[in-house]
Amino acid sequence: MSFELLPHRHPFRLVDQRADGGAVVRLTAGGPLLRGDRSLPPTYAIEILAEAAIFLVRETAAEAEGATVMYLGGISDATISPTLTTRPLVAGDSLDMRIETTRSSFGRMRKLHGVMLRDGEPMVEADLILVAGS
Amino acid sequence: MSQDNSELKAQIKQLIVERLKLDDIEPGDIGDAQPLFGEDGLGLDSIDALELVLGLEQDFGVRVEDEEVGATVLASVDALTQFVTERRTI
Repeated sequence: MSFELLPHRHPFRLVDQRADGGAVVRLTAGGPLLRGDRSLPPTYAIEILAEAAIFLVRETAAEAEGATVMYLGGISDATISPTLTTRPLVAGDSLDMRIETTRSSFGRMRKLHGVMLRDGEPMVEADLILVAGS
Repeated sequence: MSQDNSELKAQIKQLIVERLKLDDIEPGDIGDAQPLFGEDGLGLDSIDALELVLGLEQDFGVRVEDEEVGATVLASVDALTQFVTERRTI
């Protein structure tokens, strides 16, 4: 698990586990995502996608070599499913992040496409720009 | 050749406006030699540079290898046109 490039620590380090082509967040009773009205704010969802993307970039992108940290530099063409905020989150749910690393890079920046799935249904989709820093 | 060039320049200006979502600028408003970056020019930033590089790959099959090449190639529509003419595969 490549945590070292994420500038986040608890409680903002949200991704639990690396998965094939992405990462997984598992919701537990008492966890930060199950407080309040138990809906997932879109900004939170984008943040989770970005953290998942950084894991993959750490492993695949050349510009990550030598970088000590990576940031989310931009978001475009985001699509939010209405069920993201209308269907309550429950303990035991898994959020699966799939990241396509096929988009290209330039300098210290890279563009990727990320999708968050819940029970196989897309919740949030967005193009993400990651910036490597040192 | 000059006719081909003007068509390509128009395509590149179209790409800049569409790809970077420059809603208040028409492709024809961009001067051939106008700097694309910086306050004296079109005012593009580094995120725009990434989008532009991806657009060039997608539309013309040309790859801007690194930031050093990008500094020359992305300077203006004239510079982009020359680069695409030399390298295009689509």
